Order: sequence, then C-alpha cells, then structure tokens
Amino acid sequence: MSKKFALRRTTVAVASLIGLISVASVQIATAAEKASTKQAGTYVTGDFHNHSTCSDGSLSMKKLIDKSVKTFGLDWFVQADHGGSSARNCTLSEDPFEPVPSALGLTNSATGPYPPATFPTGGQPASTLKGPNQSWESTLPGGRAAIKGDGTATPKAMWRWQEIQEFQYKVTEDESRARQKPIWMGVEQNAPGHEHVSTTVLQGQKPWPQAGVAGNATLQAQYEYCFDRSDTDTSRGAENQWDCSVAGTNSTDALNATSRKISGTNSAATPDLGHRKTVEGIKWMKEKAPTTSYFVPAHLERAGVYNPNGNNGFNIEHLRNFNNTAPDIAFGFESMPGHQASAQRGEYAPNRGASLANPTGGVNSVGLGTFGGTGIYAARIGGVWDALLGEGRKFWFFASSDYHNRGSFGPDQRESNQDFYPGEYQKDYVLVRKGTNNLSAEAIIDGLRSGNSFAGSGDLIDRLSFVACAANPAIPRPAFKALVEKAAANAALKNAEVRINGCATMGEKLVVAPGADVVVAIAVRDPQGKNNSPYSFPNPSLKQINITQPLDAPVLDHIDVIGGNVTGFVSPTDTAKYAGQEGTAAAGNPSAGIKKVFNSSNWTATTDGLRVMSYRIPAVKVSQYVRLRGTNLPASTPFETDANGNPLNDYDLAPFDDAAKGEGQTPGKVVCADAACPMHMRTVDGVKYSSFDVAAWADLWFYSNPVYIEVTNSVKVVGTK
Amino acid sequence: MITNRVFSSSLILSAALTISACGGNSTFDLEAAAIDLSTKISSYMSELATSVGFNSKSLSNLFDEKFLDAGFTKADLVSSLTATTTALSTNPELSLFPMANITNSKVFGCDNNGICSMSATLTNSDADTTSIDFSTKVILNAGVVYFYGDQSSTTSL
Repeated sequence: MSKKFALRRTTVAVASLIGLISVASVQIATAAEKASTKQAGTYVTGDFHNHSTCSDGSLSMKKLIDKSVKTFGLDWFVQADHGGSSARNCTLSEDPFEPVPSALGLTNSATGPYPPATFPTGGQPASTLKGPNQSWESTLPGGRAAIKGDGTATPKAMWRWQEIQEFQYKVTEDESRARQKPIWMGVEQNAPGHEHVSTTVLQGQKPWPQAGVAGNATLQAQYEYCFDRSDTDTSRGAENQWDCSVAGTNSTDALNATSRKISGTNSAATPDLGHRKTVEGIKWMKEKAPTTSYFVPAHLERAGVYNPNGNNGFNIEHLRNFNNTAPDIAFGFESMPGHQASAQRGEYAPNRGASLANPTGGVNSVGLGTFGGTGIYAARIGGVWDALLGEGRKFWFFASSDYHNRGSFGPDQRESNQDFYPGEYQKDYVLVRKGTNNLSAEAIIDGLRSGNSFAGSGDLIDRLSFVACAANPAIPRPAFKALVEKAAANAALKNAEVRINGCATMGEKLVVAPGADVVVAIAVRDPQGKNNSPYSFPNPSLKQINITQPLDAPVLDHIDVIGGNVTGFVSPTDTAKYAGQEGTAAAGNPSAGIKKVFNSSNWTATTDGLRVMSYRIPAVKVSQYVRLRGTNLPASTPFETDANGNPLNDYDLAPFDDAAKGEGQTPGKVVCADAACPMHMRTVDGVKYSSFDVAAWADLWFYSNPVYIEVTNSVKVVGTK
Repeated sequence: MITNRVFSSSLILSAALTISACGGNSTFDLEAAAIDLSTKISSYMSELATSVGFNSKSLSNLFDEKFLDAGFTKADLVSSLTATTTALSTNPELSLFPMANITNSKVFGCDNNGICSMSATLTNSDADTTSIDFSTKVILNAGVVYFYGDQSSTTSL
C-alpha cells in the first residue's frame, strides 16, 4: 500500500519551515583555480556508511575495518553505526579473528550452498553471545553500572554517544594509526523526520597521520545525543551535561528543559518537528565543526516520500533546505545505496516492509526499486539530482556499502545474499590533495566537499579524468582536441586530475564568454584483470544478447555524457518550484538529457585499459553542466536497460515474493542457466534466476559528479538572493 | 617551380633555401618563417590574459584571410577574441583559454599555390606538462607564412 501525502499539506509544512531556513549564502561554485595554485592530488577510495555490532551489524569494529582497508584495500574508512543504543560490545573481536581456512575460496557445492560443518554461519564466532555479540553489561568491568544514561532494559543497552565517546573512538584511532590509513568515526543518523543520514563530526578526532596525544570523538558523540531520533536518553550525556542549543537560531524554545535537546520527531501532533530538528543539527555542525563535518542523506528514496507525520524519506525541498543551511556540510546524497546483494536490491521495493501478517502495511520506495543499483533521484535523467544541479548547487553523488552482514553466508565467504563489504563492490573515489600532511581525514572531507569525485560498482572503472576546457581559438582544432585528450589521459594514468588553466574538472566551473566553444575531454581506465566477484561464469544479463563476458571481468560498454541547463537558484518562498515529490516540476530539470554517447566506435582504446574521448560543445549560450555515467550493459539489454541506455528497475528484474502469498511464488526475469550459477539464486519451478549478488555483479555503473559551465551573460552558477 | 623540401625550425638558424616560384624568381627562408610563426603565436597567446592582448590584432594577423579549420574561420577567431574581451572586462572569473607553446615547427610539402604542411609540437606547462605533435596547413603569402587550416567545413571536432 502506498502512503501518499497531500502535496498541499507538504507545501504548507514547507512554508512553515521557511522561517527556519536562513537564506544563507549558498556558496558559489568557485571557478577553477589557477593550475599553478592547485596542489597535486590523487584519487583515493573509501566508504563512510557501514555497521558493526554496536548497532545492527554483525561484526566487530576491528574485523569490519580489516575487511574494508586490508582485504578490499580502501584508502580511507569511516565507521558509522546507527545512532540510538546497542546492548552489544563491538570492540571485542571475533575469535578466531582470521577466517577459517576452509571457508576461503569455496566453490559452489551441489549440496550447497556450503557444507555447514565446514563453515559457521552468522559470523565468527558462530554462536550468539560470543566475541562482538557479547553484551556491554557482561563484558565491562563495571558491568551494568558502567553503562550510563537512563536505559532500563536487560541487558542494558549503551547509548551510542557513550559507545562512541568511551569505547569505539579508541578502536578507530588505534586501528588507523596501526594501519597508517585515515580511519575515523561517523554516525548513520536516524534523522528526525526522515530515515537515515551519513554524518561525521571530525573535530577532535586524530586519525593517522596524526600521532602522539590521542584525540576524541566527543563532538561526534554529542551530535548523536542531540540529534538522533533513536537516542531518547535525557541525561545530557551524563557528566558531559551537553546542551544542544545552536547559537542564533530560533529553536531554543523547543529544547526540553531536562534533556536540553529538541524532543520528539514528526508526528500527527507535531508535523515536521523532526525535519526541523534535523536542520538544527546541520546548524549545530556548522557552528561546531564548519569544515570538518558532512551530512549526506543515505538511501534517500528507500523509505518512500516524505511524511510530515512520520519518519520516512526525503523530498527535494528537504535536500534544498539542508543544502541552503550549510552547503559546505550538506553537500550531497548517497543515491547509490548499499545492500546491493539483497533480495530487493538496495532494499528498495514496492510495499517495502509488508509481511504475511501485514500484507499491505509497507511503504513504496520512491521509484519502486533501484535502477542499475542507483535510486531514482540520481538514476532518472531530469529528476531530482538534475533539478538540484540545474540550480547550480554543490550537491554531489556518493555510494556506500551500508554493510551489515552477508545474509545466509558467513563473513568470510565470498558470496552474499545481503550486503557487500566496503570496497568489495562499490567505492567512492575522491580527489585528495595530500600536501605535507599526507593523506589526512581533513583533506578527504575537503575532497568530498569539493565534488571532485566519482562512484561506481564492480571496479567497472578505476580511474577517471573529466574536464571541460574553453577552446583556444588560436590553436588548430585537431591540435586542441589532441592536447586536452592527452592531458586527460596523462591524468588518468597518474590517478590524478588535469591542471590546466582554462579547464575545469568535477565540482568546478568553467566561466566562458557567450559563443565560446567548450571541449569536454574524458579518460577512464577499465582495469585489466578481475574484480572481487567470486563468479567467473558468463554474465547472464549479457548472455541474453549473445555477449559472453565473465562476471569477474566486466568490460565498460559505453559512457553517457548527460547535460542540463542551469537556470538559477530556486527561492524557498517560491513554493511551487521549491517543493514537490519525484516526478513533479519542482523535482525535475526538463533540459537534462544525454548529450553524447561514447563507446568503442568513437573512443580511443589503449592496451593498458584507458579509454580516451572528447567532444566539442559549440558556441555555448547558456550556463549548463555536464556529468557522466557509464555501464557494462548495452542499451536495450532486456530487463536491464532501455533503448536509450537508461537503467531499468532492478526490482522488476528480481522481484521479491508477494508478501501476501509467501515465498517462492514470483519468478525472476533473467535466467541464470550456467552450470556454475550458485545455489542461492532465486529458484522457481526448478529454474534459477539472476538475483542477489549475481544480479549486482551483472549490472555495473559508475557516476561522476558534474562540471559546470557558466556563460558570462547567462545564469551565474549557484546564486542566492 | 617551388622545390619541395623539408626544413626544420630550431633556435639556430640554418642556411636559407633558395626557391623559385612558378613564373618568377624569389628567395624565401621557410625555416625562418616557420620559426617566426610559431614564436609569434606562442608569444601572442601568452598575452591573452588581458583585454589588451585580446584587442590586439597581432594574433589574428597570423591567420590567412581564407583560414578555415574544422569549420572555424578567421572571422570566427576574431569574433571569439572580441567576445572574450567583452566578457573579461566585466567578469574577473573568466576562465580564459588553455595556452600552449608551439615548438619544433617544420614547414614542408609546399604546392604551387604556396600551401604547405606544418608540423609542430604543442605544449602546455601550467602545472603538469602536456605535449602533442600536430600538423596543420599554412600558406605562403608575400614571403610570410600564415595559418591556413585544413579547409574543412566539418565541425565534428
């Protein structure tokens, strides 16, 4: 059953919030800096959304970190459990920590998935109440008395603020310094009025390369106490005696006298209160840690449209509110969610949350599924993301693992029917300028904020250089084309960026005179060798169109250049244009479209995997942006892509069972007929269908962030009243 | 007949080549002309950071009146420089153009109409050095080499 909320009511709610949103100076996207002033940088990979047993994950912090930065080689990592509370002690490691040798590299078994006797399920150790599954109460020296706050359950749950402040931070700092990689704490905020947001407040934390005196995550802990809707502790953080007020705001009157935080969330009695509290949290970040925080809504389509009386998803007006409040903190979204190996890819679905007991009690994810593993806000050309870019906002695209567990598989098995590890399937690649401090957490957050980043799945590409350059009219056109392509190729080979005056890269803007030509140059690397897929049998989606390609060796098929016009900042007072659900005018950019398609017929391929290409935008007249997406699937791949190459709904490809009828009813769309197709595939009437992790490995995408082009007598890119 | 010879430009001048055009006699130093053209264009491009540079006709004077390159004419060049001048005067954020030096220029293969091939190296050294070799067409006119372009109306580039 879909829950639809009257637009009028939402409009009224938005209007009531306008007074809270300071029409702040939305920071203008800066014109590309002079090349000589740009410090050399490198793209580094990371993940900032994942879970341990300190919330609803299945692993210790140490094993999760080990998997992420060692097994799957991420350069940086933010450990970010849910807010709220947890009874389990995630700082205790599994025993044995290293995987049981026989659990590695297991192939599909005819009696499978695996002989239970050789491999434990449910995490190592297999049994409940061992390792990180033990409770704080049973493992702390002080027992229950050492658990602060006003929880009353048995075993007593520890509020996340205490977990972070007193126990978890030390683990991340120790791991970071020992592994010599930036690893720090974040929180997946249960955002009041919404679902989840990936946040960090770095201030005080001292991950590698910092050394010496230990840091702390006190501010991160305070943020969790103050602004997570699942943290209903009223103790003010015990001896911390936190006050959650924000200087200069008008929400002080809403603070509870005892807890000194805004109590409550969206409800029938208090519509939009939660959203108001979430916005206050961003203001708090801006006050306490203006350059070392981020606020990035996660899987934002999953929980449906916004509900002023509940905690559901996000409409575009909420993203605008966040970005208006602090564009240097609320600078993007995770529209490529985790849970990519789950039955409902990304855990997006129609009637999500329904059950046999309550068959109509679910909520429709916006879009009713993911699209090539990406939510509709970014996947649909001309949708929410393009609407925000059409204002010229700094609003960037990110991916995350959202790792919780492997489903029915153990943590050291390579198969999954739930989640992929950080770095196993999806990665965020962000340009970081190392400087004299080497790879610092501060520089990584600067990189995330800058928009000079891209995200993708399955190691479809591992290098990207993407620039727009003002064409020099005095240089012969073929020569200029060759020069910028060479610059892009050189940068991609070095895993760096193009630094040429008159060229702008992702997150930057190129400012040109009207009538100027702009040359867009792209270089990507389709890496040689294998990705992390445990499957080498042919991609079943591609088999439909007679393409034989191993699942562990994908090949980039094409790149779409998507562009749209920038028409200027939308005022919060212009409610009709500011607020609306996906599919409405407020949430769209009709000028967006595919401007160019590159494939093997018009890119230059080199033996080291580079694909180099460029095209000219002649005589630009209006301010605009260009962004990229690429995939391993040709257009018109049945059930995967449409005739224009747009991704189709993943839920339609691998539908979950009808909740009212029980399991095993609904066949998939793509048959997985290879003899090596694993046993855990969705099987109906003896036929296996591509599903779970196989469906994810078959369907790979990357998305870049945009390059803006501002034409001097046209709309200024990112403005504010 | 103009003798088709290849001359390399370098910072050290070599002996001039004596050529004779059809129907007459003249002495023309292709090597020097190649050096002169590449030196001038590099110099004038470097001036394109100010409106003075854009307003100057120095750069456009290096292009033949019949210049046509992938659909781009001399008039288009002048128009582009003019538009940039206007934009620069009111918008200090203007990105301008990527600049490059032209070196190692060689002019060769001249035909009866004085249309020759020119090869050279284009280099940008703003931060990281990027170089490519390219070729284009030039024309000899009254003893001076001008850019002529590929004479193609195609704008696919």
